[in-house]
Amino acid sequence: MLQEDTTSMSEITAGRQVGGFIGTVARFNWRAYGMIIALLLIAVMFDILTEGIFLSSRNLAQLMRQSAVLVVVATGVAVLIIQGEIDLSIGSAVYLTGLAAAYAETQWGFGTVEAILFALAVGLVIGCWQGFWVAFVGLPSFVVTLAGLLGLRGAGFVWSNAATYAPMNATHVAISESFISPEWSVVVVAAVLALFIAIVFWRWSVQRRRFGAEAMPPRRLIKPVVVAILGAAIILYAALGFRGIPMAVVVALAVAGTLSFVTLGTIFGRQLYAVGGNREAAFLSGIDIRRNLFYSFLIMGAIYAIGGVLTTARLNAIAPAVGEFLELEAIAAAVIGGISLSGGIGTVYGAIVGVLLLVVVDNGMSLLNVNSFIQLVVKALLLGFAVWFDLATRPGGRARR
Amino acid sequence: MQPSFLAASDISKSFGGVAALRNVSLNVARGEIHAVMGENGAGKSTLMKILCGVYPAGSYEGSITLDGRPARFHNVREAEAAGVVMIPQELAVVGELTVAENMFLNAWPARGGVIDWTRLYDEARRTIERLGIHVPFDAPMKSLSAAQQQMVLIAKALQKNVRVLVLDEPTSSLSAHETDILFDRLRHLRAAGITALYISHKIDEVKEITDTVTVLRDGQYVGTQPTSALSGADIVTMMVGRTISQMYPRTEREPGQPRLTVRGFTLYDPASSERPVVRDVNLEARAGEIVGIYGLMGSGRTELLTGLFGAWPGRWQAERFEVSGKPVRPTSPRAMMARGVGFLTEDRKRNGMVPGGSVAMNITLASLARVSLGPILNRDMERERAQRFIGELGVKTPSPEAAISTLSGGNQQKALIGRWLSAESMVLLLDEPTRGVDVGAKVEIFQLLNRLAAQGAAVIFVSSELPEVLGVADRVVVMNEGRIVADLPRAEATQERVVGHAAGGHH
Ligand SMILES: Nc1ncnc2c1ncn2[C@@H]1O[C@H](COP(=O)(O)OP(=O)(O)OP(=O)(O)O)[C@@H](O)[C@H]1O
Ligand SMILES: [Mg+2]
Repeated sequence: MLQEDTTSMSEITAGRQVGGFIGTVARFNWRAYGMIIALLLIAVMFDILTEGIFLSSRNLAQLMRQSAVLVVVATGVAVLIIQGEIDLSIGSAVYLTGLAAAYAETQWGFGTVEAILFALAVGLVIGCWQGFWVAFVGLPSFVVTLAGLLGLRGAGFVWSNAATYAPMNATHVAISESFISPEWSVVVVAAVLALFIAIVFWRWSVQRRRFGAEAMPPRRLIKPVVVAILGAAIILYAALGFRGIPMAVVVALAVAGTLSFVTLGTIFGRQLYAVGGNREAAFLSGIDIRRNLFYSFLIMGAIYAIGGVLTTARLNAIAPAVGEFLELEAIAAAVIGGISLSGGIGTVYGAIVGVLLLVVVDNGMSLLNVNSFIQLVVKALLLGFAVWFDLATRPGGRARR
Repeated sequence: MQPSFLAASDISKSFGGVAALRNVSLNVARGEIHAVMGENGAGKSTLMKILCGVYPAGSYEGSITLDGRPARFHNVREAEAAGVVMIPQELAVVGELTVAENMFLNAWPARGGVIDWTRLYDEARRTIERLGIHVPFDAPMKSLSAAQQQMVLIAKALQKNVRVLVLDEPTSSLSAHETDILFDRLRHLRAAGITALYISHKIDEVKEITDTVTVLRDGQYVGTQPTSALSGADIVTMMVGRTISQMYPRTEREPGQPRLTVRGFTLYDPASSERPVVRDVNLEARAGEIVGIYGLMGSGRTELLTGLFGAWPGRWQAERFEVSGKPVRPTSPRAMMARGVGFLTEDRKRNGMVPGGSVAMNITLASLARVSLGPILNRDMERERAQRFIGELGVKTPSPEAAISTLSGGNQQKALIGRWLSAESMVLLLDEPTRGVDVGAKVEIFQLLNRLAAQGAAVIFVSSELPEVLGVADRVVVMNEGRIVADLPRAEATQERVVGHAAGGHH
């Protein structure tokens, strides 16, 4: 799980036996790095345009907190998109679970833990409900979750009379808004980074022994190590210059880490890719498509709840418009990150990169006071460009959908 | 020697460092049918794709001339405009549109942006008549058989003033009768001066229809000879670089316990639950036995295997259904796999391969539990297991992690056979296992089947190639119109008897 994603499959075929500079260029996996490079370039551009505000620790910490909810729902919806399904109900479901938590705390006097468990229960019920119709009745997920998009918000309005509830419990707010102190941040980041790199090296050396040095050249270490160090450095930079690592970021990384392990490191995840890649072949290989789909909707149920809890913590309230268009942003992020809507292609990591691209552009343009109408147009162009880039650099090229 | 009509010289092409063609030359005379042969992965399809503009000029080295003029095609359209048209192995049709519409795909005759239906149908009719075939040109494309669809695509090519027709394994999904029709039409076209390039792994066909043979091996040019100067064995030797003494290897085995027993097995059409497509089948396969199923296309072979694997979408019925002596309800592939049944499908593109996945992923897909610790996948075990079957089947791939879609057709097929070896199935249902596989690899697959049988597996395989069935099977089961009409032990299975039964005659 740690050092291989599906894109590394094409790395092998690219650039064997070619030496020198050309070989190095050919081996360089533009598809995997392209989006990250684009992200860095855009960040530098905004930094220059905003005269250093954009890359200030304060703004980066802000930006990460902004991304947290979107990372959670985008990596969640990736699980469905990879198997060729979709979820349009995310925004409304996040609203409803958030409402559950807020109502429980403000009206019933629930403690934070009880309120979160209640929100989780609501999320799982929604997941069960939608999963039932899609997996066992066989309705298209598009239709079922479109109904969810309308119905769940409607249900929330009926319940709350479209009212706003505030404030949340202080401990609830802390889930998103507190910080790991700068000192501890250093310790935690260093420990996680060291552990990660140790595992990468250990796995690499085991594989080298098993499959021979030639099949496991040292360049296989480059990508995971570079990305991990880069990520850690950025997080630390933002954390140390501000107030430490925002809790919301911890939650988001935990969710993303779990889901990337589930999709890339388990039988269940492998089956999702197979179903998305060729449904009939997957069925004829003994994969229980319906069960997996149902489980995926249960995962989504938990994702709704986490999203709802984080959002209410951040806003310190629930309001009727919470989560509007969240599903579309999540899907856009996944697609920008290279996940194919027809299924079978892309990774959870990609979805995170997609989120970062969207949030960076959003935040940068806001700092520059770009007219918000123009912001929408720019995001649309970004979506189009990202998909074009992805298709153009994909082996097999434009032939594929 | 007459000057070449189509000449490719010193063509080299590599995919990210892996050479697929190295200095290959091809000289084709006007109006001949020219076979291009070679093992799986030899580079045949790659060469054809270069000739037809699929790989644009600049993406390969070397030069091509057509009728004395340099031909540098940048895309398929340019190649078609110059008269070079490919009928790909995987037919590209729009099933919902009518035959006539498919023939004009993207080039519908129109007046001011509005399709001119009268002209469209008129021209479609004229072209189809020119080819001398009978196809309802206003029927939806998907209602046609594979052979008819192929004819329509050829008709479509004719419309474009084709000069060179490229056919990549055109008969791999055709029945013998349909192949005859295709050959008849090809002769007709040859008489009209159209040149054809013909790829096939079927030596008999090549001997029957082609004038000249060019052989490639490992991406290199081996030689070109008039077909009449070559025996089948000569062609095989040129292809694989050694002689193959025994095309259908067989070991003697004593059949053991019944592995699969069905009685009164009936499958109903999913669209109309009263119409049976497989009727009242009684079948038994014992450990150590290789059972060959022969029947014409549409005789219910594939449906029977699908049903035996629990994947039949419609209603079914069985008096008895046992695997290794225990009753089973064939309700899902999962249930059958749990009993050790495996099923290699006929159409790897449609329901075999997971195209976005690696070779290793495709091989281990039906045996994920064997490369996992609990629910957690172990990539090292996966890779090791995949490597084992890649070695056993001689799958040509740069690594287990290469995308399966970059493999040649025959090697994809071998990888999918590997999927069921990896699943350690004790009852193997194989639907056309050697489709698209070269002669040498066929022999290896048969040897493998023998070995599996010797280890106690029961193998049931369907093949449209009679010599294969007669050569490899211990028992030959003949199907006709959804029924088993004969179940012959090896000694009694003669070509005449089997063909007679398959055609519905009574012996
Ligand atoms: N898109 C691709 N990317 C990488 N390698 C490729 C690609 N297409 C073909 N190859 C490689 O080129 C070689 C030649 O393949 P090609 O499809 O031409 O073989 P073939 O002679 O048609 O074989 P078959 O009889 O199995 O169809 C193979 O080793 C194959 O793996
Ligand atoms: Mg080929």
